[in-house]
Amino acid sequence: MTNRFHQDLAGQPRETVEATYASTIAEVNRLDAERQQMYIDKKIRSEVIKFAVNKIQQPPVIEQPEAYANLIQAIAEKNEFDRLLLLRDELASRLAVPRHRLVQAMQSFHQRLTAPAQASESPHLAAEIEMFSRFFEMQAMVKVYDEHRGLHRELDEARKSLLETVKAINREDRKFSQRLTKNSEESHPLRREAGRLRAFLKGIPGANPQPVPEQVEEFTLRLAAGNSLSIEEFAAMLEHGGLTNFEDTKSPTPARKKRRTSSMRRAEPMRGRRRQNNVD
Amino acid sequence: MQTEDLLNVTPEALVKAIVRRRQTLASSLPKELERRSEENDRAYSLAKAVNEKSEADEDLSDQLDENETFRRRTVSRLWSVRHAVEDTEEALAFWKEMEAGGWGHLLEDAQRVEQGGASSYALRKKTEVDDV
Repeated sequence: MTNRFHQDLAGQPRETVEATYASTIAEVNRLDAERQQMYIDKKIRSEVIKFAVNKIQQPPVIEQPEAYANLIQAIAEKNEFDRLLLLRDELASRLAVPRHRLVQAMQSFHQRLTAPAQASESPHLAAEIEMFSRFFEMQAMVKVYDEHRGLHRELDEARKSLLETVKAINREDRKFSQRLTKNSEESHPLRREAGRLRAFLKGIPGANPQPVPEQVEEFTLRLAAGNSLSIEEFAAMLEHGGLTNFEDTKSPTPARKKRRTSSMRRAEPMRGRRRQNNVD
Repeated sequence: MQTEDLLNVTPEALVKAIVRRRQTLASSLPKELERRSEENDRAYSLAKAVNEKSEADEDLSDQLDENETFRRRTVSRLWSVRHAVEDTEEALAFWKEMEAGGWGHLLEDAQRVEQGGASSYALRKKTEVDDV
């Protein structure tokens, strides 16, 4: 006897149903594997973006560089940006005074050293010597700044380029999310169909259908890919049994120890009326 | 002066400009010294005259104070000019020596920066940080 869910299968030979079931299971497995890979890819992208925006110090290890050209480019651009930044910082710490301040001081020193002044306003010899020496030091410093003027331009370009690459990765990430949703949407009806076929086959004597692959929750896939979960997702997991549900369910959970109770009657103050049997 | 002009200033040119300014100053100083000496002499005479009178007349004490203040001020001005004369003579001798190309030791900091070293400002900053 077939129920209304299996009416379309009733007239088909067992082998045909088994073949359909096998192909459905294969498709479910393929979609699961694809989803798992997508989560791993998403995680790598996320790590690269974190590295690019300086949230982590080390880039992720990419085993197949040819498959992640834009990520490799982002890492290379970040390294170049860091190199230029280091150069700029070294220059700033080596010279210590900004260029515009140097120019102002040079103008002031030159004026005081060369412009006619009254005896009371004229600098003393020691001050003149100091200003002479500083003037040429500052002149050398300004020349160093000018030699490295390209550094600031390069740094700016590297920053813009890195930003564009990160934006492109972000755009791809959004497409990835859409593909993930699509994958889940495709997987769900297939699982239902596989369950239906298996239920039908179980009803046929001699048929021994393999079980439908255990549904791997999105959370588990994401955790396997090294992603993090939000508070809401954790709450949802707790509501449905939490992480323990994803572990081996065969191992029994240790039974809670029973609290030992004393055989002696506990004497404690009572509220309300005294019990009848205690009354003399 | 524009930045480009400042960057083109050479030690020779700057030494020459300093010498020129010092010579201009030196030429004006003798007159200034003479004026200040006369002023000081006048102040001294005034102070001396009032001082002698004040021994007899106590009402002149205010005038005595005023003249004494003026005398001290002129002494200070006179000394300033005398120091300026000395400093100018010394400076002219020094910068004329430099004019012959002896400024090398004055450009040690500049050379260090040119060779890729730290500026004296950076070194001072580092020392201050290390001391803290």
